[in-house]
Amino acid sequence: MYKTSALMVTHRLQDAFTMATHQFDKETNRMVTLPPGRHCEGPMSFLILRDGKVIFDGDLQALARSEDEYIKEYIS
Amino acid sequence: MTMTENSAPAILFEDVALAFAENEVLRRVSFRLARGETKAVFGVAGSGKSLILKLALGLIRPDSGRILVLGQDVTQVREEDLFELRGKIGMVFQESALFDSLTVRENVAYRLMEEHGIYDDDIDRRVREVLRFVELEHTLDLDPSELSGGMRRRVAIARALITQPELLLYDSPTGGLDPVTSNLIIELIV
Repeated sequence: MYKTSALMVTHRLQDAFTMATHQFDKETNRMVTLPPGRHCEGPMSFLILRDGKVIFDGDLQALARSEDEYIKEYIS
Repeated sequence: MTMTENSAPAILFEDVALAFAENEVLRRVSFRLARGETKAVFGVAGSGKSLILKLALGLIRPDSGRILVLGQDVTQVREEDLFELRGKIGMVFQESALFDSLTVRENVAYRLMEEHGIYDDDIDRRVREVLRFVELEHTLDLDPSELSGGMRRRVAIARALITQPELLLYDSPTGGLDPVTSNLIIELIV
């Protein structure tokens, strides 16, 4: 497959988490879970809007480390 | 155009603001989507996330700020140039937005047919290839109304992929689907 860029609007956090922690396996033609600590091949990031403002823009690790109460509640 | 296509990010929002009457829906929103990057945009209903896709497509213009898409400032370009730019973008809508009067084959081939005018062997090969990818080659001659919601969404993905776009925009691709079907859609996106 060719490499493309993608912007995905979603309300399902689990979809984006799945994308960040899985990759496509060409041999089995299926999506497989990456080992702990490994992340998807292409860069994957998350952007959270609140009241029309960007309150988070970063990768999965930064999101998991966020101390923002709203974000912590949003991803819990 | 302020950046060459090669050096530009796929999408760049700079201080984008948009209001409807007194309601400020986007307040100085800035972000960049690098080439090859996937970015998921979240927010509760009314947070303005779907507007970002409409702004990126040039369907609406911001009150202020700059939006570069594949190197072109969509807040400045003419409508004719937007058509050319949109040809490089694949879009998957929540409702799938398939044409009910066309078969699956015709829906998937639609953009190629617009370019070439006739349904030839090359288009047929590419239609079958993308439908095989979403595991729906057997639905070629069905109408969208004969498909389940998940299948319609997969056809919409096939239609977005057939032109091998530089940029894909997804608007709630799993909205309204059950968890199992949602996972299948995400698998296709991955």
